[in-house]
Amino acid sequence: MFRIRMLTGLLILVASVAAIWLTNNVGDWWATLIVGGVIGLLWTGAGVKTVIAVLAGGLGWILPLLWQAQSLPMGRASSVLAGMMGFGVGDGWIVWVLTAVFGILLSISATWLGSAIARLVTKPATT
Amino acid sequence: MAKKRNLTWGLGNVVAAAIVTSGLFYAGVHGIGPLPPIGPGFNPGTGVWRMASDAQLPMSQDLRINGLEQPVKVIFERNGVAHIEAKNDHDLYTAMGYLHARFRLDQMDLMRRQGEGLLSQIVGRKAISSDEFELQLGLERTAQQEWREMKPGDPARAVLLAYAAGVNDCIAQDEKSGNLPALFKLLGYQPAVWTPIDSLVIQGEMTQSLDFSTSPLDYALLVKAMGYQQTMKFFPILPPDTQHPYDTGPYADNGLAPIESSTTGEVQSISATEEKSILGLQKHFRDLPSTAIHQGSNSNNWAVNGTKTVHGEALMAGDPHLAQTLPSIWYQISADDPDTHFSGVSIPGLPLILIGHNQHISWSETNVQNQATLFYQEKTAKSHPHQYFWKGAWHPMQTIHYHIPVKGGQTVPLNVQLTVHGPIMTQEGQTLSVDWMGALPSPDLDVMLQIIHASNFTGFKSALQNWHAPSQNFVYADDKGNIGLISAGYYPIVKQGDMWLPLSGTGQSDVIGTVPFQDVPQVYDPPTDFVFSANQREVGANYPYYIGTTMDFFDNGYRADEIYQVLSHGKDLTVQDMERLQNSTTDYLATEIVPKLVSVLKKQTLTPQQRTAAKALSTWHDQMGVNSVAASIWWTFWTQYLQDTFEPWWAADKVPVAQDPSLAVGPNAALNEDLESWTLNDPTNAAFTAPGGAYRTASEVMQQAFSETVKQLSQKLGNHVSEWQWGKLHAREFQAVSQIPSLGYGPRPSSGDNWTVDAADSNNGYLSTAGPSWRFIMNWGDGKAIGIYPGGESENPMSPWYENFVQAWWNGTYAPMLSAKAASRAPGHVTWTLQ
Repeated sequence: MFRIRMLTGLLILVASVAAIWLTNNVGDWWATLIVGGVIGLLWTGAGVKTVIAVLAGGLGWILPLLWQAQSLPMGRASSVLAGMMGFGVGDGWIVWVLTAVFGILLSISATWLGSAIARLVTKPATT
Repeated sequence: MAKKRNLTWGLGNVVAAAIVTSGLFYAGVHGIGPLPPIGPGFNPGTGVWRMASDAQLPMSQDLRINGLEQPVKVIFERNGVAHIEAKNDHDLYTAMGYLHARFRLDQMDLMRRQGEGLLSQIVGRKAISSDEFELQLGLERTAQQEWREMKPGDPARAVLLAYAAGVNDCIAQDEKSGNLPALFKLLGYQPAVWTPIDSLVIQGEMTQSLDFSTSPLDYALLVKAMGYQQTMKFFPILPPDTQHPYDTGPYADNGLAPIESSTTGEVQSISATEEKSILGLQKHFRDLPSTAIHQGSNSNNWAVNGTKTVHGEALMAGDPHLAQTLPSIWYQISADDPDTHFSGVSIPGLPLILIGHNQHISWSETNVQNQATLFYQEKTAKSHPHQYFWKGAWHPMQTIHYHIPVKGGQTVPLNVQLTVHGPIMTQEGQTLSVDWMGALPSPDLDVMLQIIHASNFTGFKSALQNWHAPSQNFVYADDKGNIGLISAGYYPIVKQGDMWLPLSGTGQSDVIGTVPFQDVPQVYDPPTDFVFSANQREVGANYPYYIGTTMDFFDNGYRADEIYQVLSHGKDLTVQDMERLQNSTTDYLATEIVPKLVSVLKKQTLTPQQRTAAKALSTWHDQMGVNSVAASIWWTFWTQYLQDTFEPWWAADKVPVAQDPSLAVGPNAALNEDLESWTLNDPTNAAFTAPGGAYRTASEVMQQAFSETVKQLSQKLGNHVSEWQWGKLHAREFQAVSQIPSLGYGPRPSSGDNWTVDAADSNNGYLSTAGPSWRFIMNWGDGKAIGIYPGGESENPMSPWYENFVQAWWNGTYAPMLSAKAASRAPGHVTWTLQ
C-alpha cells in the first residue's frame, strides 16, 4: 500500500512538473497555480502533499532552465539579468533563486488553497 | 458548537490560502516593490531567460512577414551586418523596419518614449523632468505636423508606412513567441504599435541633441556677473585665434540684412529675479538625460579629389562624434532593389541611412553648430493672466494639456503654454519662451530619400535645399572625382537684438527669416582640392550673416586645423592615410603652445622633478597616446593655465558657478581660443593680470601653471614622472542606453582628448563618453567603402553581436562594407528569406 502510494505520488510529481514545464513554455506561468491546486485537492496527507508541491514548483521552473543550459549560456544569462536588475553581475544566483522560489511559492500556496477547499468540502464534522 | 468551530476554521483556512495565493498571483502579474512582474518576467519559457536563446546567431531560414508584396532576402555577414535584397521599395523598407525591431526594439522604444514624454510610464517619477521638458519642447507636436504635411503620394510617407509595418510585424511575432527583449519583461510592459509619428519623433530627438542649446542663458548669467563688455571680450562672436574655415568666400548677401549688434552702449542685463529664474531653469536642464541638450562639438568629415590621391579618384571620410553607447546609435545596413541602392549606417527607428554611399555618390555629416535656439523674455502682467504682449497688443497664450502617466504613481498633469515664439520654459521670476529651429517641420526624410537616389552634385545640392534642421555640414564625393561640402539648414535671422542673449518677446526681435540657401556656407570642387569640416566656424570673419558665437557654439577648430594641415600638405593620399587621420591623436593646440611653454621654462630655475617633466614635454610629438607622460603634463598644464588666467576674474565677478557648474572655467571653446590667441600673439594682454593683483604676463602665468601641474600630478600619480601616463588619467566609457552600468563598456584607459581628430569628448577632459560613433571611408578609386562603429548590431547583451566591433574600433581598424552580393559569397553568412 505504501509503495503504491509512493508510486502514485511520484507519478503525480512527474505529471505536475511536465504540466508546469509545458505551460510555462507557452507563457502560461499561472498554470502552476492550477497544478498546485489540483495537488491540494486530490492528495491527502499534508507531509507528502507539501513535498510534492515544493518539488513540482521548484523542478517545474528550474528543470527547463537546466535543460537549456546544456546548449545555452544560462549561467551568463543569470549574471547579465542580475546586472540589469541592479544586483552585481556576480549575483546571478539571485535570479536562479528568485525563479525557483517563485515557482515553489506558486505551487505550494495553490496546494494549500486546494487542500483547504478539499478539507472544507469533504471532511466530516465531528461532534 | 465544535462543528461550527471547524467550519469557521475551515473557512478561515480557505480565506487565508486564497489571500496568499492571490497575493502571489498579484505579484506575478504586477510585480512587488523593486521586483518586476515575476510571473511573465521570470517563467523559464517566455520570461527574461529567453534572452539566452534569443542571443543565438540567426540561422538561414524562411520567415513569414505580413504585408510583403514579394519575397525579400536578408543576408547577414558573420559580424552581423545585414544586407537587404528586395524587389521594390515598399518591401525594402518593410524589411528594414523588421530588422531594426528584431535587433533594436528596446532602443527604439526608449528613444520614442523619451521624445514623446513617456519615460515615466515605465520607470516612474525619476523621469518626470525629462518627460515634462520634452512635452514642453514639443517633439511630438512637430512630428505630428510633419506627418500632416506629408500628402498621399509623398515618397517619405510611403517609406514611413512600410517601415512601421515591418516594425509592427516584428513586435507581433515577438509578443506571440515570447521573444520580446528582456527589458520589456523586466519593466513589465508591452511595446505599443509603431507609427510614422514615432519615427519622426526620433528624427526630432536627433535634432534636439545636435542643436538645442541653452547658451543664451549662460550669456545672460555671465553678463549679469561680469558685464556685457567683459563677457563679450571672453566669449566673442568671432574667434580671436587663427582658424581654417572651409568656405573662405567670396560671400554673397542676397537680401536679408545681417543682425544689428547692440554694442553701442545699450547694456543688456538681467535683474536678480531673472538671474534666479535662469539658474532654476539651468538646473532643470542639468537634470535631463545627457543627450537632451547639445553639449560639446561633433564630428569630422572631409574629401579630397583625384589631384591629391594615389589613384586619381576621390577619397571621402566621415566620423560623426556622438554619445558612444551600447547599443550604438547606429545600425549598419545595405539595401538593394531595382530602384534603390544604399550602404551605410541608419538610426534604429528611422527608415534610411544617414551616412553612406550609393553607386555614384557618398556623403557624411558634421554638425554646423550655428545658433539654432533663441530665448525670448515675454512681457506679461498680472492684469492680463495667460496673455503676453506682442506687437503692441495682448495675446492669449495657447495652452496644451498633457497628462503624464507615471509608473507606480498618479498621473501628473502638465499645461504647456505657447506664445508666437514657442513654448514657455519657465514662468518663475520671468516668462521665458524658446524659439528652436528644430521645432519647425523639416522634411529630412524626403531629403535623405533624394540623396540616396542622387547621382551627382546637382541632385545632392538640390535635395539639401529643403533640409532645415539640424543644420549639418554634408560632405560629398562622387565616382567622377568631384567633391563638395554644403552646410544645409536654417540660420535664423532676427530683426534686431543680440541673438546670443535672451531677446525681447514684444516683437522687435522676432525671427524674420533665414540665410538663403545660396548664401549658406558651401563649396564644390574648390581649387584647394579638398574640403573639410570639424565643427569649426565654416566661414571667415567677413561672412555677412550672424550665425553664432564662440560659445554658441562653434568648436575651437583644433581638429579642423589638424585636418587642414594634413590634407593641405597631402599628396598621393591613400585609404590608409584617411584611416591614420581619423585615428590621429595629435593635439593641435599642443603643437602651438608646448614650444612656447618649453621656451619659458628654459629661462626658469626648476626643481629636478620639474626638469624631468619639462624634458618630457620638449621631446614630445604632441600625441595624446595612452602611454604618453607628456600628454598628462600637457593636459594638466593647459587646464591649470586656463584656471590661473580666468579664475581670478570669475571670483572677482562672482560668476555663479556653484549654482550653474556649466559656467565654470574649463577647456571650452571660447576660453581656449582666447588663451591660445593671447599666448601666441598678445602675451601682455590685461587678462593675465588678475583684478587687483600684481602685473603678470603669459610667461608668468605659464610658469605658475606648470609648477602647479607638477605638484598636482605628483599628488595624483606619485613622484616619478615616468609613471604619469595619460591612460592613468584618461579613459573612455561606452554607457548603456538603458543606463544599466553592467551593460556598458569600460571605463578603459584611452588615448585622445577633447580636440584630437580621434576625439575623446568629455565634460571634465578625463572620462570620455562621446567620440567617433562611426568611422567611414569611401574610396572612389575602386568604389569600395570601409567602416566601423564601437558597438555591435544587436542590443541583446548576450549576443555575440552586442559589442563585437568595439575592439576593432579601439584598434583603429575597419571592416569592409560589402555589397549584398559580396556578402552572400562571404564565408559564414546567413540568409533569411522573408515572405
